[in-house]
Amino acid sequence: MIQPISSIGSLATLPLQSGAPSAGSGSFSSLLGHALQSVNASVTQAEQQGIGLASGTSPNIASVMTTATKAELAVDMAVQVRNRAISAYDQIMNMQV
Amino acid sequence: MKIHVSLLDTTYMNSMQSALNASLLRQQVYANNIANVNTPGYKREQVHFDSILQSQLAASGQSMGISTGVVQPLSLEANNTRDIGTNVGSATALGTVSPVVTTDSSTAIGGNGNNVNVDAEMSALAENQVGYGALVQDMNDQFSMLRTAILGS
Repeated sequence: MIQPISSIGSLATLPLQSGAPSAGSGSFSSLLGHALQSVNASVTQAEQQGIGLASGTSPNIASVMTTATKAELAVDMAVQVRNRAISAYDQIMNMQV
Repeated sequence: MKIHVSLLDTTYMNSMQSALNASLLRQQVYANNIANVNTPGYKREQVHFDSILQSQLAASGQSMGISTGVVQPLSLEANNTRDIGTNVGSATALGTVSPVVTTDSSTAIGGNGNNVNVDAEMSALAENQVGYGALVQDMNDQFSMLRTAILGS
């Protein structure tokens, strides 16, 4: 007995994955903007915690270090995504048609 | 090149610079205390820095309560004191926050008028070293981020 393949229309009702921006989702520029803003937020937070370390208001060195490393990784990630995007663009532009 | 204004002359960098200087001074003062443990009449000295930097930070409007996650506008380039829209001066002042060395006469004084407790000085010295290492590590992380952003690789 072969079951007919069900349609995939129900996919449209699936909830969006976490992390996707709710407002203006689907627009690439808003997606990129949100991603860059979150990288910037993470760097700003690392700076604030660093200033807290310098001024003695941050009691937890481990938390400062973790936040700093997270921010560093976020920046690395953003730069790598940019590099890959540019590389893909170059490949497409150099294609013979 | 005005790149230093926006990238390196920040509240963070200058606060860190001052904190590192204070940490070095604290190391010298504690070492001096230990060296004088047998000097009659010597009173231990201590370094005050945290509260001074905190008040300077509050004065420059860069207190810890600043909202994170907001994209801050790029500061305007100012070549002249009459140019508008820069608070670079307040950030620069944070790089020269001077710690204050005071003499501590409050602790118990031994027979020869010397109030240095070697164990307390040693543990304070160790604490200072950990703090210095943390500051250096944090600054390295920030420099590494800047380098990544500049070189793009």
